[in-house]
Amino acid sequence: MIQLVNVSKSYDGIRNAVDGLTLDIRGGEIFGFLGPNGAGKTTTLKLITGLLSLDQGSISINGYDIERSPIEAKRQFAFVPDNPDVFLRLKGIEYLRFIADVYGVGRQEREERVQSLTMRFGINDALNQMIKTYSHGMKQKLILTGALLHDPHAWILDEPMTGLDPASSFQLKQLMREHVDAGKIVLFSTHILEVAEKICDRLCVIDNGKLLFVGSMDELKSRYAEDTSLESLFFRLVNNPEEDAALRGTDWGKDS
Amino acid sequence: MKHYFILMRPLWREMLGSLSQGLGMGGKKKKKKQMSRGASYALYAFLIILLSSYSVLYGYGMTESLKITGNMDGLILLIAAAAPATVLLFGIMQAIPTLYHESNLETLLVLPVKPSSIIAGKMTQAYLPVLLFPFLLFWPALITHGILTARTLDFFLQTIPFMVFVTLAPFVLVIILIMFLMRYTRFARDKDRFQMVTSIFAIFLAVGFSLLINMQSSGGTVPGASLFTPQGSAPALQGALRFVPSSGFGAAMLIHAGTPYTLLNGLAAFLVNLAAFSILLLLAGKLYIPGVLGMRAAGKASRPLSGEETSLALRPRTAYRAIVSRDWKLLLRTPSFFTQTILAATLLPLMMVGVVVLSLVRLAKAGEVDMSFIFFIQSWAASGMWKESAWLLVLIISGTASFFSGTNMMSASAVSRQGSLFSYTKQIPVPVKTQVLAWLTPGLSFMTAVWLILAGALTLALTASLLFGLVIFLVALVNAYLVQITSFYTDMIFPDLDWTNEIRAVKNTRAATVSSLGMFAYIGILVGFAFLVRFLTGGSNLITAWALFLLSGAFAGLATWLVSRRMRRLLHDLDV
Repeated sequence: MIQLVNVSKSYDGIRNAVDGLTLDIRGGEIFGFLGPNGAGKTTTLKLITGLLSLDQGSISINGYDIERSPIEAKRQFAFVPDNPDVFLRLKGIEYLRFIADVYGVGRQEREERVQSLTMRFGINDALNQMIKTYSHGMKQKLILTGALLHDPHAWILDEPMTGLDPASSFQLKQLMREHVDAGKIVLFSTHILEVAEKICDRLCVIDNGKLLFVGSMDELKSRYAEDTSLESLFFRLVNNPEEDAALRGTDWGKDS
Repeated sequence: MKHYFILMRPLWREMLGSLSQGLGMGGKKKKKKQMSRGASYALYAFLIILLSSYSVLYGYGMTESLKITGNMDGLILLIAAAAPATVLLFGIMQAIPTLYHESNLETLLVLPVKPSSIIAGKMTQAYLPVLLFPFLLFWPALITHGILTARTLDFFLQTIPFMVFVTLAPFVLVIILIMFLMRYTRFARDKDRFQMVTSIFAIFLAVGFSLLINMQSSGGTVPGASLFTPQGSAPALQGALRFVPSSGFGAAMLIHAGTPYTLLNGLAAFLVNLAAFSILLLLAGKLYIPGVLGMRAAGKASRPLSGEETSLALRPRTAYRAIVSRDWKLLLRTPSFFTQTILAATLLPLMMVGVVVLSLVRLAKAGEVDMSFIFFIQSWAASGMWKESAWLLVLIISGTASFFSGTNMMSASAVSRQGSLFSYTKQIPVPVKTQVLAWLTPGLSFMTAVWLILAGALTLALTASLLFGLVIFLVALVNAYLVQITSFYTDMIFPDLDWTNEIRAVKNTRAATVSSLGMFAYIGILVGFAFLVRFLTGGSNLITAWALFLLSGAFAGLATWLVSRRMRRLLHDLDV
């Protein structure tokens, strides 16, 4: 489980980039993180992964607090950033070895995973090349491979579909489903609402650092009593939060 | 022509921007406040005044000393030879990124503008910064020289075309060479490899050229002479200038300012430059844009790994070894990192030892230094006499070790080098202590290896005892460590993680300044401390030697403690 309790963060002149966010993300679910540009999605993911320090609140991953037990907490997840520019002057295989080493993945396990994942993503023939020669999509696939090497409890992805070809995008969605089928978590942010609608078990919408909605697609539809696409509900939520508050009659920023 | 001037507007701004970035100004995103326009201009003015002052000073010094030997034109000939060397060095470093690796190229190529306008714009953008440095470095010296040697007004006016003549043709030569390589070789299209090789080549070339000039001037024959002399004897160009006719004619033009010969030489210099420039424009049309367009096709396909090779390449290591290995690979494969760390740290000791040995041999051969002096040093080390003046040995080795270590930016840039990838450092489940140790390992192990070799070589060359070698090694190690750890600490406090230009991470940080300049202050402290201890102890050799060693050790201990205290909060304090 990933648990956020009353999490807030302000920085670089942005007050309340994340504002009192409380969320429970449970094992066995694909959780989508939605919101317009600058809503605080990436900041929240960076807070969960310890890339940013918290101003207020607490975050725990699989029971480990990211600030109090950072090493144990970091063992529980893998993060795939939105920018796939990793160590460009390492070869693909060197990058994967580095990741396997720092996460302490055993020899047989790493060999098997590297082989099966790189085959699935179709980058096995490029492992001997420097990452700088890779296309955006290939870099993304390499990072995805690295992220799954240690079979993390939580898989956290920031805009993972960007730059992927249709086949790789399909593979990724399958991998996400396989991951949660094993009782683990997939948390990802995206702007592609169709993808979120199709694959997320639950999703949340944030804007200006505040939580606007959290729940399943069905719950969102029932709130508005309208069987329409996520896209139209998303715009109603973001553009007219007062309507949403009136509809649910509950306080904001709390996970239901 | 109209399009050329339109293109030059953004290119000019970009050129100024890259110059500012090179000087450590601007270009920093968020968190750090942008330097105000006024402050930027003030810094520009300061740097210009600083360089010009140096120029005036050596212009004065050289002219006065050359006047004594009756060589009134020596400085002009020297500048005519040194300016092309500077252009060669800066030309390679400036032209490759400007002409081939800047992102704006793709934006320019899709504009409805004639290719010749783009070529002219980019060439101007590459040439002006290359002209600027030699101009600041040499022109004030020439003016000073003119005043001291009471030259005519013509001389002062001709210094401007002189600077253009001696820099343009060599620049053209460099550009043509680069264009050929970029167009027709795969090697050149690998940006990293090409930059690495050309940087090393340029450094060796500049060092070699300086040595050549140095050796020729000390032999009493300043290189270069005019083709058209007042006597009409027209001796061939001499020395290094015989290979650079633009400089030879340019120098002759200046030397004969106020006489008809100046026109002949000036015309010859102009024609040489014009010819060079015409060839450049002619070739650029065929080589430049196709070369730029070919850059994308440069990716080299490598052989896929077999199952066995993959298995071998994935052998497990500890997290510490994994980080050290990653850092070494990035140091070796990133041109900017390599030149500022491994290359600098290898070349400087080699060059210094080489220059000392060469100079001693030359002076001994010329009879300018008594051979008994060399024998004295050897017997001082071999017979154990050094123990009587051990403090001097400790002081010299401390200074040399901190100087060498200061030029090695491995530890000084260990945090900044990571840039935006510091996010990996924060993400991976490896204790910060292990990570810090791994970041420090390349710098420390490199300096250890350098001093192991130097101490061993000195001990063997001077047939000294093992103790002599051990003292040198230990003293050097402590001082080299001190500089590495202090600069690393500075980088922990003031890291630059938002760079987009790799050179900024190793050259333009506060840690780099502390590393490269701080050791001078430290050496000053050591010297002052040594004399204070000698004064207080009535000239005790042993106490002074130990006091110096312990002082270095105490500084090193303090810096280590500061690092260990800071590292506990490093990952928490540095947001990415």
